[in-house]
Amino acid sequence: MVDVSRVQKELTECNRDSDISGVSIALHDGGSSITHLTGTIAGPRDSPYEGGTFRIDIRLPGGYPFEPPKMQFITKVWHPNISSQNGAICLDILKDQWSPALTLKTALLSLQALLSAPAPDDPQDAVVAQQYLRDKATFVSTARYWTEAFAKSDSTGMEEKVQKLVEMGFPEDMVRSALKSVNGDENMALEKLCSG
Amino acid sequence: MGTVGAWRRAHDEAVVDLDESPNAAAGGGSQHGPPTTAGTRATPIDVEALGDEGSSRAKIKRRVAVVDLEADADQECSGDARTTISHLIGGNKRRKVPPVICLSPDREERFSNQRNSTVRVSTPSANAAPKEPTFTCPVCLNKMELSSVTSCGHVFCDKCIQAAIKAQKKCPTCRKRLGPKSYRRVYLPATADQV
Ligand SMILES: [Zn+2]
Ligand SMILES: [Zn+2]
Repeated sequence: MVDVSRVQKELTECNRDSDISGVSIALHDGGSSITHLTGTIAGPRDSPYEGGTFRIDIRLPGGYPFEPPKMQFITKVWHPNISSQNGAICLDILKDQWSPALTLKTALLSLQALLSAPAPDDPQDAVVAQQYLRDKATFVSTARYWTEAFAKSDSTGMEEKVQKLVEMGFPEDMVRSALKSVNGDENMALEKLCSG
Repeated sequence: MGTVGAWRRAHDEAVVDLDESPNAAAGGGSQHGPPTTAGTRATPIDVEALGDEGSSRAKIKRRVAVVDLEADADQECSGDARTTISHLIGGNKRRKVPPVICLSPDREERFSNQRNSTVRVSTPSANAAPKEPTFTCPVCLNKMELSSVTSCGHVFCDKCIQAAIKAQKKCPTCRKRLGPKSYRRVYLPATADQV
């Protein structure tokens, strides 16, 4: 069985400073299962992913935290270590180098660091890796284009979310900063506003 | 997002300065944060680097950002209670109760737990056993229960290290290989986490 108390602690802890860390975690689709989560990562600065918000599907196996969480990009991303087809990730700490002393937050931070520093020698997506090695400029522009096309879609609904939360009685400036801090996740922004 | 730049720079060496808290990094580059903001929770670094086995070096490049728990203990950190990454042996968790040092568990209860107007009758075993310290286990993130130390010196709940060894045959903190008997009960001093 998944250690529920630990996972709850992890969520609280991760979301407490998500505006600083750039990573956050919520229940998948606002559902009720603690074993199916969605992580978000802010694209790192000075990378082709800057400005994007990347969503990660997280499933916790029964043995968690003694088995690694299963993570996969929901948001399409152009990166040598992430499948451009299905979002599968090649990262050792999500496989044999997992340790129960790591957390979902540290795993997301690792993914964020992976976005900053691709490892094309150990690729998940051979096509992207080849491009990265042979034609860096094209790689960068493709990755940037994908970020624009797929990782910024959240921002389109932003005004609607602001509107909705303002109607619930929260001041607009607080709503905007709350939404910003959770990368536009409406439910998490609401939680944040309610907890003050 | 200052942290990203900060740790990316450091990432090339696969080890990030643990003193560099997210707050400090966001505010001003690489200066060290004050002890109270010790940002080890958010600071990714390489666990493996501390394992220090030559063979692991080759792989280091791919270990992008793993938080090391061991260094947290080494750090002189006054810490805050909201940590997820536990404090191991460093004794750095700030207490909410005043630091009343008292060897008798049942007297301390009266001192520190003022909400409780009734004095609980303590069992003989409660009197005999030393008071359990309030360290946090890095695996379950709860208060350490039946603290146990591995042959590599890392401390966990008895049940947690047992489960970890069963699952991975290695130390959760430093990844040293461990067998089913590579740990034993350890009795941490009750006052170790006080200043
Ligand atoms: Zn434990
Ligand atoms: Zn160890």
